Amino acid sequence: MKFAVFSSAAFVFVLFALMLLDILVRGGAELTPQYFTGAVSDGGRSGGIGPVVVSTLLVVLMATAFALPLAVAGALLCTELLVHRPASRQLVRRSFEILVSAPSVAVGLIGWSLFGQVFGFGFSLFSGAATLAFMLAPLMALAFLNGLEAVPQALRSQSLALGLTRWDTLVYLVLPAARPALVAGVMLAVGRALAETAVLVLTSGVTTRMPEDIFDPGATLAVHVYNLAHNVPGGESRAYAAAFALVVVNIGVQLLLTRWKPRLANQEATS
Amino acid sequence: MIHFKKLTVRGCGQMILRELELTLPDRGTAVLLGPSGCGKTTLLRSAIREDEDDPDLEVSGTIELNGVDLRAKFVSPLAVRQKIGLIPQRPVAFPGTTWDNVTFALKHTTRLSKQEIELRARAALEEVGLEEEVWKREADCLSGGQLKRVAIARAIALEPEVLLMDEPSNGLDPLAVVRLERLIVRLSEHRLVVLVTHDLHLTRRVANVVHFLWPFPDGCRVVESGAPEKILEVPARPETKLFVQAAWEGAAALYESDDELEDCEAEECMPRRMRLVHESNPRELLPEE
Repeated sequence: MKFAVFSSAAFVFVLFALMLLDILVRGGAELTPQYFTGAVSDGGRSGGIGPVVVSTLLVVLMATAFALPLAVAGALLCTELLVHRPASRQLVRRSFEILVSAPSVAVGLIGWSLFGQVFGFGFSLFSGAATLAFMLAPLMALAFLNGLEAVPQALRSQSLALGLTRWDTLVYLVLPAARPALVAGVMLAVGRALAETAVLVLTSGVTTRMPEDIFDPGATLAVHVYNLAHNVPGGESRAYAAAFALVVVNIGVQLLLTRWKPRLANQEATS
Repeated sequence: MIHFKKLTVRGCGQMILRELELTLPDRGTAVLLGPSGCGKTTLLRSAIREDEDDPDLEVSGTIELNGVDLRAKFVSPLAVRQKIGLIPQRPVAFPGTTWDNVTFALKHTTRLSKQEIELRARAALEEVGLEEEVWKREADCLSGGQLKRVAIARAIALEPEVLLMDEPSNGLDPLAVVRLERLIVRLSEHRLVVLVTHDLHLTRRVANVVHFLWPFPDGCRVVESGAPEKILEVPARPETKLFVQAAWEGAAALYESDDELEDCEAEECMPRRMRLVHESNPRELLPEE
Protein backbone atom coordinates (compact mmCIF):
# COMPACT_ATOMS: atom_id res chain seq x y z
CA MET A 1 0.00 0.00 0.00
CA LYS A 2 2.75 2.39 1.06
CA PHE A 3 4.75 1.44 -2.03
CA ALA A 4 1.74 2.04 -4.31
CA VAL A 5 1.17 5.50 -2.81
CA PHE A 6 4.83 6.48 -3.08
CA SER A 7 5.16 5.16 -6.65
CA SER A 8 2.00 6.97 -7.76
CA ALA A 9 3.27 10.21 -6.26
CA ALA A 10 6.71 9.67 -7.83
CA PHE A 11 5.08 8.95 -11.20
CA VAL A 12 3.21 12.28 -11.15
CA PHE A 13 6.35 14.14 -10.09
CA VAL A 14 8.53 12.46 -12.75
CA LEU A 15 5.91 13.16 -15.41
CA PHE A 16 5.85 16.85 -14.49
CA ALA A 17 9.68 17.02 -14.40
CA LEU A 18 9.93 15.34 -17.83
CA MET A 19 7.38 17.74 -19.28
CA LEU A 20 9.27 20.72 -17.91
CA LEU A 21 12.58 19.28 -19.18
CA ASP A 22 11.10 18.69 -22.64
CA ILE A 23 9.83 22.27 -22.83
CA LEU A 24 13.16 23.58 -21.57
CA VAL A 25 15.23 21.53 -24.02
CA ARG A 26 13.12 22.53 -27.03
CA GLY A 27 12.70 26.19 -26.13
CA GLY A 28 15.63 26.81 -23.79
CA ALA A 29 17.79 28.49 -26.43
CA GLU A 30 15.29 31.34 -26.70
CA LEU A 31 15.13 32.00 -22.95
CA THR A 32 17.07 35.17 -22.16
CA PRO A 33 16.19 37.99 -19.72
CA GLN A 34 15.22 40.17 -22.70
CA TYR A 35 12.82 37.46 -23.89
CA PHE A 36 10.54 38.03 -20.88
CA THR A 37 10.46 41.80 -21.28
CA GLY A 38 10.98 42.54 -24.98
CA ALA A 39 8.27 43.32 -27.55
CA VAL A 40 6.99 40.59 -29.86
CA SER A 41 8.26 40.89 -33.45
CA ASP A 42 7.90 38.98 -36.70
CA GLY A 43 4.71 37.28 -35.51
CA GLY A 44 6.53 35.86 -32.51
CA ARG A 45 9.47 34.36 -34.38
CA SER A 46 11.77 36.95 -32.81
CA GLY A 47 11.75 39.49 -29.96
CA GLY A 48 10.26 38.74 -26.53
CA ILE A 49 6.92 38.19 -24.84
CA GLY A 50 6.70 41.32 -22.64
CA PRO A 51 3.28 42.52 -23.92
CA VAL A 52 1.91 38.98 -23.72
CA VAL A 53 2.98 38.65 -20.08
CA VAL A 54 1.32 42.03 -19.31
CA SER A 55 -1.91 40.96 -21.09
CA THR A 56 -1.86 37.64 -19.24
CA LEU A 57 -1.48 39.24 -15.83
CA LEU A 58 -4.19 41.82 -16.59
CA VAL A 59 -6.69 39.22 -17.83
CA VAL A 60 -6.03 36.84 -14.92
CA LEU A 61 -6.20 39.64 -12.34
CA MET A 62 -9.44 41.09 -13.77
CA ALA A 63 -11.11 37.70 -14.25
CA THR A 64 -10.28 36.67 -10.68
CA ALA A 65 -11.48 40.03 -9.34
CA PHE A 66 -14.79 39.73 -11.26
CA ALA A 67 -15.32 36.09 -10.30
CA LEU A 68 -14.38 36.35 -6.62
CA PRO A 69 -17.45 38.28 -5.35
CA LEU A 70 -19.76 36.11 -7.48
CA ALA A 71 -18.20 32.95 -6.09
CA VAL A 72 -18.31 34.16 -2.48
CA ALA A 73 -21.95 35.23 -2.90
CA GLY A 74 -22.88 31.89 -4.50
CA ALA A 75 -21.18 29.86 -1.77
CA LEU A 76 -22.70 31.97 1.02
CA LEU A 77 -26.12 31.66 -0.59
CA CYS A 78 -25.86 27.90 -0.12
CA THR A 79 -24.29 27.76 3.32
CA GLU A 80 -25.98 30.69 5.05
CA LEU A 81 -29.26 31.55 3.31
CA LEU A 82 -30.37 28.16 1.98
CA VAL A 83 -29.05 26.28 5.01
CA HIS A 84 -32.50 24.94 5.89
CA ARG A 85 -33.63 24.41 2.29
CA PRO A 86 -31.74 21.33 1.13
CA ALA A 87 -33.55 21.08 -2.22
CA SER A 88 -32.72 24.66 -3.27
CA ARG A 89 -29.21 24.25 -1.95
CA GLN A 90 -28.71 21.08 -3.99
CA LEU A 91 -30.07 22.86 -7.07
CA VAL A 92 -27.54 25.69 -6.73
CA ARG A 93 -24.69 23.23 -6.14
CA ARG A 94 -25.69 21.20 -9.22
CA SER A 95 -25.79 24.43 -11.26
CA PHE A 96 -22.21 25.21 -10.20
CA GLU A 97 -21.12 21.69 -11.14
CA ILE A 98 -22.74 21.96 -14.58
CA LEU A 99 -21.22 25.41 -15.19
CA VAL A 100 -17.75 24.14 -14.25
CA SER A 101 -17.98 21.49 -16.93
CA ALA A 102 -19.39 23.85 -19.60
CA PRO A 103 -17.31 23.67 -22.83
CA SER A 104 -15.01 26.67 -22.97
CA VAL A 105 -15.63 27.22 -26.70
CA ALA A 106 -19.34 27.63 -26.02
CA VAL A 107 -18.66 30.01 -23.14
CA GLY A 108 -16.25 31.93 -25.40
CA LEU A 109 -18.89 32.34 -28.10
CA ILE A 110 -21.49 33.52 -25.59
CA GLY A 111 -18.95 35.91 -24.07
CA TRP A 112 -18.05 37.28 -27.49
CA SER A 113 -21.71 37.92 -28.37
CA LEU A 114 -22.47 39.45 -24.97
CA PHE A 115 -19.40 41.54 -24.16
CA GLY A 116 -17.89 41.88 -27.63
CA GLN A 117 -21.05 42.67 -29.58
CA VAL A 118 -24.02 43.52 -27.31
CA PHE A 119 -22.00 45.67 -24.86
CA GLY A 120 -19.63 46.80 -27.63
CA PHE A 121 -16.28 45.98 -25.99
CA GLY A 122 -15.13 44.07 -29.11
CA PHE A 123 -11.93 42.04 -28.87
CA SER A 124 -10.50 43.35 -25.62
CA LEU A 125 -8.83 42.24 -22.43
CA PHE A 126 -12.02 43.33 -20.62
CA SER A 127 -14.23 41.07 -22.79
CA GLY A 128 -11.82 38.18 -22.21
CA ALA A 129 -11.65 38.71 -18.45
CA ALA A 130 -15.42 39.14 -18.07
CA THR A 131 -16.11 35.96 -20.04
CA LEU A 132 -13.42 34.07 -18.19
CA ALA A 133 -14.98 35.19 -14.91
CA PHE A 134 -18.09 33.18 -15.79
CA MET A 135 -15.92 30.07 -16.03
CA LEU A 136 -13.96 30.80 -12.88
CA ALA A 137 -16.88 31.81 -10.62
CA PRO A 138 -18.51 28.34 -10.37
CA LEU A 139 -15.09 26.70 -9.94
CA MET A 140 -14.23 29.01 -7.06
CA ALA A 141 -17.77 28.82 -5.65
CA LEU A 142 -17.57 25.02 -5.43
CA ALA A 143 -14.20 25.18 -3.65
CA PHE A 144 -15.54 27.87 -1.27
CA LEU A 145 -18.73 25.88 -0.72
CA ASN A 146 -16.78 22.75 0.22
CA GLY A 147 -14.60 24.82 2.56
CA LEU A 148 -17.55 26.55 4.25
CA GLU A 149 -19.43 23.26 4.64
CA ALA A 150 -16.37 21.76 6.32
CA VAL A 151 -16.53 24.39 9.08
CA PRO A 152 -18.17 22.60 12.03
CA GLN A 153 -21.79 23.63 12.58
CA ALA A 154 -20.97 23.74 16.32
CA LEU A 155 -18.65 26.69 15.68
CA ARG A 156 -21.61 28.68 14.33
CA SER A 157 -24.09 27.59 17.01
CA GLN A 158 -21.64 28.22 19.87
CA SER A 159 -20.86 31.70 18.54
CA LEU A 160 -24.59 32.49 18.20
CA ALA A 161 -25.12 31.18 21.74
CA LEU A 162 -22.67 33.83 22.98
CA GLY A 163 -24.90 36.52 21.50
CA LEU A 164 -23.08 37.19 18.23
CA THR A 165 -25.12 37.95 15.14
CA ARG A 166 -25.08 35.59 12.15
CA TRP A 167 -23.12 38.20 10.20
CA ASP A 168 -20.45 38.60 12.92
CA THR A 169 -20.21 34.83 13.23
CA LEU A 170 -19.68 34.58 9.49
CA VAL A 171 -17.10 37.37 9.27
CA TYR A 172 -15.11 36.67 12.44
CA LEU A 173 -15.31 32.89 12.71
CA VAL A 174 -16.60 31.02 9.68
CA LEU A 175 -14.68 32.81 6.92
CA PRO A 176 -11.34 32.74 8.80
CA ALA A 177 -11.87 29.04 9.52
CA ALA A 178 -12.59 28.43 5.82
CA ARG A 179 -9.68 30.59 4.60
CA PRO A 180 -7.49 27.67 3.46
CA ALA A 181 -10.32 26.49 1.20
CA LEU A 182 -10.94 30.03 -0.07
CA VAL A 183 -7.26 30.42 -1.01
CA ALA A 184 -7.24 26.95 -2.61
CA GLY A 185 -10.27 27.99 -4.69
CA VAL A 186 -8.50 31.13 -5.89
CA MET A 187 -5.39 29.07 -6.73
CA LEU A 188 -7.45 26.64 -8.79
CA ALA A 189 -9.14 29.49 -10.61
CA VAL A 190 -5.90 31.32 -11.36
CA GLY A 191 -4.40 28.10 -12.73
CA ARG A 192 -7.43 27.62 -14.94
CA ALA A 193 -7.32 31.25 -16.14
CA LEU A 194 -3.64 31.02 -17.04
CA ALA A 195 -4.20 27.85 -19.06
CA GLU A 196 -7.39 28.92 -20.85
CA THR A 197 -7.20 29.47 -24.63
CA ALA A 198 -10.51 28.87 -26.43
CA VAL A 199 -12.43 31.50 -24.45
CA LEU A 200 -9.70 34.12 -24.90
CA VAL A 201 -9.06 33.51 -28.62
CA LEU A 202 -12.74 34.36 -29.13
CA THR A 203 -12.89 37.36 -26.80
CA SER A 204 -9.56 39.07 -26.17
CA GLY A 205 -7.97 38.22 -29.50
CA VAL A 206 -4.48 37.16 -30.58
CA THR A 207 -2.83 40.58 -30.89
CA THR A 208 0.63 40.66 -29.32
CA ARG A 209 1.23 44.40 -29.03
CA MET A 210 1.45 46.11 -25.63
CA PRO A 211 -2.09 46.94 -24.41
CA GLU A 212 -2.60 50.62 -23.57
CA ASP A 213 -5.67 49.95 -21.44
CA ILE A 214 -8.01 47.10 -20.57
CA PHE A 215 -10.19 47.80 -23.61
CA ASP A 216 -7.34 46.97 -25.99
CA PRO A 217 -7.10 43.46 -27.42
CA GLY A 218 -4.23 41.24 -26.30
CA ALA A 219 -3.13 37.61 -26.38
CA THR A 220 -2.41 35.79 -23.16
CA LEU A 221 0.53 33.39 -22.85
CA ALA A 222 -1.61 30.30 -23.48
CA VAL A 223 -3.12 31.90 -26.60
CA HIS A 224 0.34 32.98 -27.74
CA VAL A 225 1.67 29.42 -27.35
CA TYR A 226 -1.27 28.05 -29.33
CA ASN A 227 -0.80 30.68 -32.03
CA LEU A 228 2.95 30.04 -32.38
CA ALA A 229 2.48 26.27 -32.51
CA HIS A 230 -0.36 26.26 -35.04
CA ASN A 231 -0.41 29.50 -37.03
CA VAL A 232 3.20 30.73 -37.21
CA PRO A 233 5.50 28.68 -39.49
CA GLY A 234 8.86 28.20 -37.73
CA GLY A 235 7.42 29.24 -34.40
CA GLU A 236 7.70 25.84 -32.63
CA SER A 237 10.80 26.58 -30.55
CA ARG A 238 9.31 29.94 -29.61
CA ALA A 239 6.09 28.15 -28.61
CA TYR A 240 8.07 25.94 -26.24
CA ALA A 241 9.87 28.97 -24.76
CA ALA A 242 6.51 30.71 -24.21
CA ALA A 243 5.11 27.51 -22.70
CA PHE A 244 8.04 27.47 -20.28
CA ALA A 245 7.32 31.09 -19.38
CA LEU A 246 3.66 30.11 -18.79
CA VAL A 247 4.67 27.33 -16.42
CA VAL A 248 7.06 29.69 -14.58
CA VAL A 249 4.36 32.40 -14.23
CA ASN A 250 1.87 29.78 -13.02
CA ILE A 251 4.24 28.35 -10.41
CA GLY A 252 5.16 31.90 -9.31
CA VAL A 253 1.52 32.93 -8.82
CA GLN A 254 0.68 29.68 -7.01
CA LEU A 255 3.67 30.12 -4.66
CA LEU A 256 2.59 33.67 -3.96
CA LEU A 257 -0.92 32.50 -3.07
CA THR A 258 0.44 29.66 -0.94
CA ARG A 259 2.19 32.21 1.28
CA TRP A 260 -1.24 33.59 2.22
CA LYS A 261 -2.64 30.18 2.94
CA PRO A 262 -2.69 29.68 6.71
CA ARG A 263 -2.06 26.36 8.34
CA LEU A 264 -5.04 24.06 8.31
CA ALA A 265 -6.51 24.17 11.79
CA ASN A 266 -8.19 21.01 12.98
CA GLN A 267 -11.18 22.40 14.81
CA GLU A 268 -12.66 19.04 15.70
CA ALA A 269 -9.48 17.49 17.09
CA THR A 270 -10.01 18.86 20.55
CA SER A 271 -13.77 19.02 20.62
CA MET B 1 -36.20 33.61 38.94
CA ILE B 2 -36.76 31.75 35.69
CA HIS B 3 -40.16 30.30 34.99
CA PHE B 4 -41.02 27.91 32.15
CA LYS B 5 -44.78 28.07 31.56
CA LYS B 6 -46.56 25.50 29.40
CA LEU B 7 -43.41 25.04 27.32
CA THR B 8 -44.17 22.72 24.44
CA VAL B 9 -41.53 21.70 21.89
CA ARG B 10 -42.11 19.59 18.80
CA GLY B 11 -39.23 18.38 16.67
CA CYS B 12 -38.57 15.79 13.97
CA GLY B 13 -42.24 14.79 13.90
CA GLN B 14 -42.57 14.08 17.61
CA MET B 15 -43.52 15.85 20.80
CA ILE B 16 -40.35 16.46 22.83
CA LEU B 17 -41.68 18.59 25.69
CA ARG B 18 -45.36 18.91 26.54
CA GLU B 19 -46.69 21.82 28.55
CA LEU B 20 -43.66 21.71 30.81
CA GLU B 21 -43.96 23.76 34.00
CA LEU B 22 -40.75 24.53 35.84
CA THR B 23 -39.65 27.28 38.21
CA LEU B 24 -35.99 27.80 39.02
CA PRO B 25 -34.60 30.10 41.75
CA ASP B 26 -32.47 33.25 41.36
CA ARG B 27 -29.26 31.60 42.44
CA GLY B 28 -27.91 28.23 43.37
CA THR B 29 -27.59 25.10 41.29
CA ALA B 30 -30.59 23.40 39.74
CA VAL B 31 -30.03 19.99 38.14
CA LEU B 32 -32.24 18.53 35.44
CA LEU B 33 -32.14 14.74 35.51
CA GLY B 34 -33.80 12.26 33.23
CA PRO B 35 -33.19 9.57 30.62
CA SER B 36 -31.44 10.41 27.35
CA GLY B 37 -33.73 11.85 24.72
CA CYS B 38 -36.23 13.27 27.20
CA GLY B 39 -35.68 16.85 26.04
CA LYS B 40 -33.31 18.27 28.64
CA THR B 41 -30.93 19.77 26.07
CA THR B 42 -33.90 20.99 24.03
CA LEU B 43 -35.13 22.78 27.14
CA LEU B 44 -31.79 24.59 27.49
CA ARG B 45 -31.73 25.46 23.78
CA SER B 46 -35.26 26.86 23.99
CA ALA B 47 -34.22 29.04 26.92
CA ILE B 48 -31.71 30.90 24.73
CA ARG B 49 -34.03 30.76 21.69
CA GLU B 50 -31.61 28.58 19.76
CA ASP B 51 -34.66 26.85 18.31
CA GLU B 52 -35.08 29.91 16.08
CA ASP B 53 -32.00 28.77 14.13
CA ASP B 54 -33.45 25.27 13.75
CA PRO B 55 -36.56 25.03 11.55
CA ASP B 56 -37.17 21.46 12.76
CA LEU B 57 -38.17 22.73 16.20
CA GLU B 58 -41.55 24.29 17.02
CA VAL B 59 -41.75 25.94 20.41
CA SER B 60 -44.74 27.40 22.22
CA GLY B 61 -45.29 28.62 25.77
CA THR B 62 -43.33 31.21 27.70
CA ILE B 63 -40.02 31.41 29.50
CA GLU B 64 -39.93 34.28 31.99
CA LEU B 65 -36.75 35.65 33.52
CA ASN B 66 -37.56 38.02 36.41
CA GLY B 67 -41.03 38.58 34.96
CA VAL B 68 -39.92 39.29 31.36
CA ASP B 69 -41.02 36.82 28.70
CA LEU B 70 -37.79 35.91 26.92
CA ARG B 71 -39.70 34.52 23.95
CA ALA B 72 -41.66 37.73 23.37
CA LYS B 73 -41.22 39.27 19.93
CA PHE B 74 -39.91 42.54 21.30
CA VAL B 75 -37.05 40.75 23.08
CA SER B 76 -34.17 40.04 20.72
CA PRO B 77 -32.52 36.60 20.87
CA LEU B 78 -29.14 38.34 21.16
CA ALA B 79 -30.27 40.13 24.33
CA VAL B 80 -31.51 36.81 25.74
CA ARG B 81 -28.15 35.18 25.02
CA GLN B 82 -26.36 37.92 26.92
CA LYS B 83 -28.53 37.26 29.98
CA ILE B 84 -28.38 33.47 29.73
CA GLY B 85 -25.10 31.73 28.91
CA LEU B 86 -25.04 28.19 27.52
CA ILE B 87 -22.04 25.89 27.85
CA PRO B 88 -22.52 23.12 25.29
CA GLN B 89 -21.81 19.47 25.85
CA ARG B 90 -18.91 19.48 23.37
CA PRO B 91 -17.34 22.94 23.25
CA VAL B 92 -15.48 23.89 20.09
CA ALA B 93 -12.30 25.94 20.16
CA PHE B 94 -12.62 29.22 18.29
CA PRO B 95 -9.57 30.11 16.16
CA GLY B 96 -6.74 31.68 18.16
CA THR B 97 -5.46 31.44 21.71
CA THR B 98 -7.35 30.82 24.93
CA TRP B 99 -7.25 34.59 25.53
CA ASP B 100 -8.70 35.23 22.03
CA ASN B 101 -11.50 32.76 22.80
CA VAL B 102 -12.48 34.51 26.01
CA THR B 103 -12.27 38.07 24.64
CA PHE B 104 -14.00 37.15 21.37
CA ALA B 105 -17.63 37.64 22.43
CA LEU B 106 -16.72 40.60 24.65
CA LYS B 107 -15.24 42.40 21.64
CA HIS B 108 -18.14 41.69 19.33
CA THR B 109 -21.20 41.88 21.58
CA THR B 110 -20.35 44.63 24.08
CA ARG B 111 -19.16 48.22 23.92
CA LEU B 112 -16.60 47.75 26.67
CA SER B 113 -13.24 49.51 26.45
CA LYS B 114 -10.09 47.51 25.83
CA GLN B 115 -9.14 47.76 29.51
CA GLU B 116 -12.58 46.59 30.65
CA ILE B 117 -12.45 43.65 28.23
CA GLU B 118 -9.04 42.68 29.59
CA LEU B 119 -10.27 42.91 33.18
CA ARG B 120 -13.31 40.77 32.48
CA ALA B 121 -11.36 38.15 30.51
CA ARG B 122 -8.68 37.97 33.23
CA ALA B 123 -11.33 37.59 35.94
CA ALA B 124 -13.16 34.87 33.97
CA LEU B 125 -9.97 32.90 33.28
CA GLU B 126 -8.91 33.13 36.93
CA GLU B 127 -12.40 32.12 38.03
CA VAL B 128 -12.27 28.90 35.97
CA GLY B 129 -8.76 28.20 37.25
CA LEU B 130 -6.79 28.30 34.01
CA GLU B 131 -3.14 29.17 34.60
CA GLU B 132 -1.63 32.19 32.79
CA GLU B 133 0.61 29.86 30.81
CA VAL B 134 -2.52 28.40 29.14
CA TRP B 135 -3.89 31.82 28.19
CA LYS B 136 -1.42 32.19 25.32
CA ARG B 137 -1.78 28.62 24.09
CA GLU B 138 -3.71 27.91 20.88
CA ALA B 139 -7.20 26.84 21.96
CA ASP B 140 -7.24 23.87 19.58
CA CYS B 141 -4.23 22.44 21.47
CA LEU B 142 -6.03 22.33 24.83
CA SER B 143 -7.23 19.16 26.55
CA GLY B 144 -10.95 18.37 26.79
CA GLY B 145 -11.10 19.56 30.40
CA GLN B 146 -9.25 22.79 29.64
CA LEU B 147 -11.49 23.45 26.64
CA LYS B 148 -14.56 22.98 28.84
CA ARG B 149 -13.16 25.58 31.23
CA VAL B 150 -12.43 27.93 28.30
CA ALA B 151 -16.07 27.55 27.22
CA ILE B 152 -17.20 28.39 30.75
CA ALA B 153 -14.85 31.40 30.82
CA ARG B 154 -16.20 32.53 27.42
CA ALA B 155 -19.71 32.49 28.85
CA ILE B 156 -19.09 33.97 32.32
CA ALA B 157 -16.97 36.80 30.91
CA LEU B 158 -20.28 38.15 29.56
CA GLU B 159 -21.61 38.11 33.15
CA PRO B 160 -24.89 36.30 32.44
CA GLU B 161 -27.62 36.11 35.05
CA VAL B 162 -28.16 32.43 34.35
CA LEU B 163 -25.63 29.81 33.28
CA LEU B 164 -26.84 26.67 31.53
CA MET B 165 -24.45 23.70 31.39
CA ASP B 166 -25.14 20.69 29.21
CA GLU B 167 -23.48 17.54 30.58
CA PRO B 168 -20.46 19.43 31.90
CA SER B 169 -18.73 16.39 33.44
CA ASN B 170 -19.07 14.28 30.30
CA GLY B 171 -15.66 12.92 29.24
CA LEU B 172 -13.74 14.40 32.18
CA ASP B 173 -11.49 12.46 34.54
CA PRO B 174 -12.42 12.37 38.27
CA LEU B 175 -9.95 15.11 39.22
CA ALA B 176 -11.25 17.39 36.48
CA VAL B 177 -14.80 16.68 37.69
CA VAL B 178 -13.84 17.72 41.23
CA ARG B 179 -12.37 20.98 39.89
CA LEU B 180 -15.55 21.48 37.88
CA GLU B 181 -17.71 20.87 40.94
CA ARG B 182 -15.84 23.53 42.92
CA LEU B 183 -16.22 25.92 40.00
CA ILE B 184 -19.97 25.27 39.75
CA VAL B 185 -20.40 25.89 43.48
CA ARG B 186 -18.48 29.19 43.19
CA LEU B 187 -20.41 30.29 40.10
CA SER B 188 -23.76 29.50 41.70
CA GLU B 189 -23.10 31.83 44.62
CA HIS B 190 -23.93 34.83 42.42
CA ARG B 191 -26.22 33.40 39.78
CA LEU B 192 -28.43 30.50 38.84
CA VAL B 193 -26.56 27.56 37.35
CA VAL B 194 -28.70 24.98 35.58
CA LEU B 195 -27.03 21.63 34.95
CA VAL B 196 -28.21 18.90 32.64
CA THR B 197 -26.41 15.74 33.63
CA HIS B 198 -26.62 12.00 34.13
CA ASP B 199 -23.89 12.13 36.75
CA LEU B 200 -25.60 11.47 40.08
CA HIS B 201 -22.37 11.92 42.06
CA LEU B 202 -22.00 15.40 40.62
CA THR B 203 -25.68 16.05 41.27
CA ARG B 204 -25.41 14.99 44.92
CA ARG B 205 -22.41 17.24 45.50
CA VAL B 206 -23.50 20.46 43.78
CA ALA B 207 -27.29 20.56 43.46
CA ASN B 208 -29.55 22.72 45.58
CA VAL B 209 -32.61 21.44 43.80
CA VAL B 210 -33.20 18.54 41.39
CA HIS B 211 -35.94 18.24 38.80
CA PHE B 212 -36.57 14.82 37.31
CA LEU B 213 -37.97 14.66 33.78
CA TRP B 214 -39.53 11.60 32.19
CA PRO B 215 -40.38 10.93 28.54
CA PHE B 216 -44.05 10.03 28.35
CA PRO B 217 -45.36 8.96 24.95
CA ASP B 218 -47.05 12.35 24.53
CA GLY B 219 -43.93 14.33 25.50
CA CYS B 220 -41.57 14.90 28.37
CA ARG B 221 -42.68 16.41 31.69
CA VAL B 222 -41.23 17.06 35.12
CA VAL B 223 -42.41 14.22 37.36
CA GLU B 224 -40.64 15.04 40.59
CA SER B 225 -38.71 17.95 42.11
CA GLY B 226 -36.94 18.43 45.39
CA ALA B 227 -33.70 18.49 47.31
CA PRO B 228 -30.98 16.15 46.01
CA GLU B 229 -31.11 13.99 49.19
CA LYS B 230 -34.79 13.34 48.58
CA ILE B 231 -34.65 12.68 44.83
CA LEU B 232 -31.48 10.61 44.91
CA GLU B 233 -32.11 8.64 48.09
CA VAL B 234 -35.86 8.35 48.62
CA PRO B 235 -37.58 9.22 45.35
CA ALA B 236 -41.34 9.24 45.44
CA ARG B 237 -42.07 8.38 41.84
CA PRO B 238 -41.36 4.91 40.39
CA GLU B 239 -39.75 6.44 37.28
CA THR B 240 -37.28 8.37 39.42
CA LYS B 241 -36.61 5.29 41.53
CA LEU B 242 -35.93 3.21 38.43
CA PHE B 243 -33.51 5.82 37.06
CA VAL B 244 -31.68 6.34 40.34
CA GLN B 245 -31.40 2.60 41.05
CA ALA B 246 -30.10 2.00 37.53
CA ALA B 247 -27.44 4.64 38.10
CA TRP B 248 -26.35 3.33 41.52
CA GLU B 249 -26.74 -0.40 41.02
CA GLY B 250 -26.48 -1.02 37.27
CA ALA B 251 -28.66 -3.10 34.97
CA ALA B 252 -29.60 -5.60 37.70
CA ALA B 253 -31.59 -2.88 39.41
CA LEU B 254 -33.98 -2.80 36.49
CA TYR B 255 -35.14 -6.32 37.36
CA GLU B 256 -35.69 -5.37 40.95
CA SER B 257 -37.68 -2.37 39.81
CA ASP B 258 -40.04 -4.58 37.88
CA ASP B 259 -42.76 -4.41 40.51
CA GLU B 260 -42.40 -0.66 40.77
CA LEU B 261 -42.88 -0.36 37.04
CA GLU B 262 -46.22 -2.08 37.33
CA ASP B 263 -47.37 0.88 39.40
CA CYS B 264 -46.22 3.40 36.85
CA GLU B 265 -48.44 2.58 33.90
CA ALA B 266 -45.67 0.23 32.78
CA GLU B 267 -46.29 0.29 29.04
CA GLU B 268 -46.54 4.04 28.87
CA CYS B 269 -43.88 5.30 31.18
CA MET B 270 -41.04 2.97 30.39
CA PRO B 271 -38.89 4.24 27.50
CA ARG B 272 -38.03 1.75 24.81
CA ARG B 273 -34.36 1.57 25.70
CA MET B 274 -35.13 0.52 29.27
CA ARG B 275 -37.77 -1.93 28.14
CA LEU B 276 -35.14 -3.61 25.96
CA VAL B 277 -32.82 -3.89 28.93
CA HIS B 278 -35.69 -5.16 31.05
CA GLU B 279 -36.66 -7.87 28.57
CA SER B 280 -33.12 -9.01 27.84
CA ASN B 281 -30.55 -10.76 29.90
CA PRO B 282 -28.63 -8.01 31.76
CA ARG B 283 -25.44 -10.09 31.68
CA GLU B 284 -25.41 -9.84 27.90
CA LEU B 285 -26.04 -6.15 27.99
CA LEU B 286 -23.56 -5.23 30.69
CA PRO B 287 -20.40 -5.10 28.51
CA GLU B 288 -22.11 -2.66 26.15
CA GLU B 289 -23.38 -0.54 29.01
